[in-house]
Amino acid sequence: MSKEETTPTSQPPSAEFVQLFTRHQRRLYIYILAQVPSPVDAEEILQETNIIIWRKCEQFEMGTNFLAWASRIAKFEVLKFRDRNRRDRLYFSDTFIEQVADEALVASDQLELRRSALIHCLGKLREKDRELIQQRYAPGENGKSVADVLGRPVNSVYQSLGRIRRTLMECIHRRLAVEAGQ
Amino acid sequence: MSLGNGQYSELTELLEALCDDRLSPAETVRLEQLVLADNGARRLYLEYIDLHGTLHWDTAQDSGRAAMPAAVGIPVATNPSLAPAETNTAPSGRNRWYAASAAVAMLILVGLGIAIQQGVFSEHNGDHVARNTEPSDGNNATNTSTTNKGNGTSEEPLVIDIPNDADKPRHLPVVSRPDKTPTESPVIAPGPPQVAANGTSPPIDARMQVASPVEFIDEQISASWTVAGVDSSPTADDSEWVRRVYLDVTGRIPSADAVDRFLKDRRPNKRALLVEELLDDSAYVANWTTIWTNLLIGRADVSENVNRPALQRFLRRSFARNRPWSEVVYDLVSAEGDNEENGATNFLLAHLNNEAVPATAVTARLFLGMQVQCTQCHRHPFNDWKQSQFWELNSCFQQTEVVHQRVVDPKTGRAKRATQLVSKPLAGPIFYENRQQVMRTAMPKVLGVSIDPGAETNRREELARLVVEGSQSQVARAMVNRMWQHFFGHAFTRPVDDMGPHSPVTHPALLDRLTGDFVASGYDVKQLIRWICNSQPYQLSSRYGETNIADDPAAGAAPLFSRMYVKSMTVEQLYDSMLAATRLDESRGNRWDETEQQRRQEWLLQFVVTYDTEENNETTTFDGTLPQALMMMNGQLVQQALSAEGDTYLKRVVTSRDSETEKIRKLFLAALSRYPTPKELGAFRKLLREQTAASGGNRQQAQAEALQDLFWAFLNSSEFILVH
Repeated sequence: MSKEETTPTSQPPSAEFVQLFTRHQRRLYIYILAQVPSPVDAEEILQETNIIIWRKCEQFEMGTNFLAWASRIAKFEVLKFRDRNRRDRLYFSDTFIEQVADEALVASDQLELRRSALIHCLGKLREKDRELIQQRYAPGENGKSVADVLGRPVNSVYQSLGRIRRTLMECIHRRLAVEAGQ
Repeated sequence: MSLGNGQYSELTELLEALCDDRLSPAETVRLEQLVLADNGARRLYLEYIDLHGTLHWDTAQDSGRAAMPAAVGIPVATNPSLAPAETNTAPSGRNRWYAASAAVAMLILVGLGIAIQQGVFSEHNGDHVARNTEPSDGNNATNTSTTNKGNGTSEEPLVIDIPNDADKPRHLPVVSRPDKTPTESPVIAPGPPQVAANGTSPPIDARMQVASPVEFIDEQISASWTVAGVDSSPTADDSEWVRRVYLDVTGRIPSADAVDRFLKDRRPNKRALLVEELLDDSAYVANWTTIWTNLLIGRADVSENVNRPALQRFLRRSFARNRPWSEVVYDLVSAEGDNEENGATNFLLAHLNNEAVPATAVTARLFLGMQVQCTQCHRHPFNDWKQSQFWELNSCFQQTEVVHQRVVDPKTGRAKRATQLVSKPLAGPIFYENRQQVMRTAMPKVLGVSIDPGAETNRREELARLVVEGSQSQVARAMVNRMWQHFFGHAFTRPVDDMGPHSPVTHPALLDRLTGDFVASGYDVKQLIRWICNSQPYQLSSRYGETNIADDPAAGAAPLFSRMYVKSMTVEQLYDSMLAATRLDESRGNRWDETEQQRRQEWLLQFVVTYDTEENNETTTFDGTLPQALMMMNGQLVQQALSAEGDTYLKRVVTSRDSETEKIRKLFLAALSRYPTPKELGAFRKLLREQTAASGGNRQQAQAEALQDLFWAFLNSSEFILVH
């Protein structure tokens, strides 16, 4: 069933390439998100990026830095996406993106560590808070739709979400500090 | 330049707004300013992006569960396939309704004493069953025929006396621990589980040296009673227990003779001996073949690729030889070849549709006790299973193809269609789209172990090998949990096949221990059943008192197994029990006979609705309620069962030289696996005499009809349709 899809190029990518590709998906996503701060847009850009990466897989030299290579493609896709949608959406300035993007790529080194800290911290949340975060980040949901479902004023939901995110941030900080100390 | 405290809190506000997608253009500009002004601010920005992005990437609501179809029966009235059964039998059926009304009323008055008590005291497997046994609904269910139900309910429910056990009155509430069960007699010496090597059966005493897992069950379960402050129900009396163990192990009720024999058996370890006998019975093989056929491919044939008889053959051989469960699972997961020659192929043949999504979901659910079907589309935040893991498992099935060929049948010389399950080389990842239509890749991986993605790997073989590895394999765990649920009505997790880290386990130490012992026994299914059936909790009565009223899983409490939870019969159990009660099984011959299989299948299918979902699931409309039972009972099966023509059990009883009392007792034993209580006996004798007298004509004929009504009423009672 997926046979056609497995051969988009004349030469199917090597298993090694595929592993690199798979392993870096999340980092690419965060890299893109730092430049277009809408998770949905970022997913869309990642999709475009993936297709190009796949198409150009033969151009990648094994042994070189995959993330550096892929992030150049991603960056180009971010610019393309912005140009396409500039009229109806709000975006950061070019200066901002220039300055933030590279640092975002470096910082994404820490991603896995931060992620396991986040998982730990989610577990520490109060049940109600965890549920709220869960609802908020369910696909297609946002603060407003959650407020509608809960019958709560939207501002109070925003406040709760803000408080929970701050709690998570602090917890992640502490957790990472503890781990660094060990 | 660096930011002051005030500016940091301003930045945090803005970042919060950003995460909730409510940043105004002016605020966006301000955010940029602040972030660019300071390294720390930039870090904070990135940390927020990180958190926000990771939550998005990893989190998805646990919406799948709510969306899953509940196995709730469709009301009988809206099920057109059932309607004919009623009209078909209109002439005699109507008469019977009327004639039997007195018997039904009587049964509610007296015979259902046990069911009434269960309604008050015990829990039921499903809501519909609970409705069934509440006294008021019990009456409603039969209100078409019950004219004097007022009388019925005004009488106090009877405590059921068991004549042969009369020296031990069993009054509730229970305050002490139950009596020692016969299985705890010295015959079962403590010792490590012994496995029958290379298929030869050791002597019975050696085989029963299983006390240590059994003791562990007793210990752990009773420890949980102490913690929860409940006392267990008393030990079930022999007639309650014999019916239960027959239904659980062999899928049908015992014959009247078998009950009589068991009740009169005076050996102290007769329960353990009966378990042994049942494990060697051909009905054991039939029962587990039925159960696993239903689990593996469902009741209805949805795909013409599936060869049901061949799969049944495979299962039958497996259970008959008591093959290690790990081998059976291996065969099912890695099966290849012709669906007639290798029956095991039919499991996957049934589920390879829709990109093998059902194959992935059903394999995970049945063999690993993991519900992953919801993660197919999105992620579970607090479940280890990610969307990617679903597809990693799925990629193991993507080498597999269904191939059709026209072959010549050597027997008939005619061309026929052959279906084969074939593995094709596939290298590298597979692709899937996430909710945002972003393409992602998945490499074959199962339970955290990567499988070589090369073309020469047979991924299903690797999968099958990996899942049964280790002394605590997930396959063993899932089987232990499922078996426990089969015998006790509730598993250690809820639901039985969702054993992920998010599911609390009621008795974790016990589950671990049984899993380890099951693996150590060589995945010996019969041994596992032996441990469970010889354990103390399995000996308990389903009736409960004030001391363990809190042990009510139906009300959401974690099961403590301080009593036997009442189960509703499955539709197969009902069918097979009907045959057993009426002895139609004898006259119908071999149960694997094609005609009989077809007849059974047709009868069962009237209750099955299939859904074309991603799990290929189905539900039965059979919900164990009395009205539905009544509807069925008027069908051909019951007509035949109650016929005084031909060689039926009823005819044998009716035409025997036995006394009236003896005849009533035999019908009780055949249908309800117990002797009537003195009150019941008195009431039914009176009824019989009244009907006979009222007929005025042929006394023998009148008595036969009265007995027929009586038997019909028994088969329609909730006591008959419940496993208690």
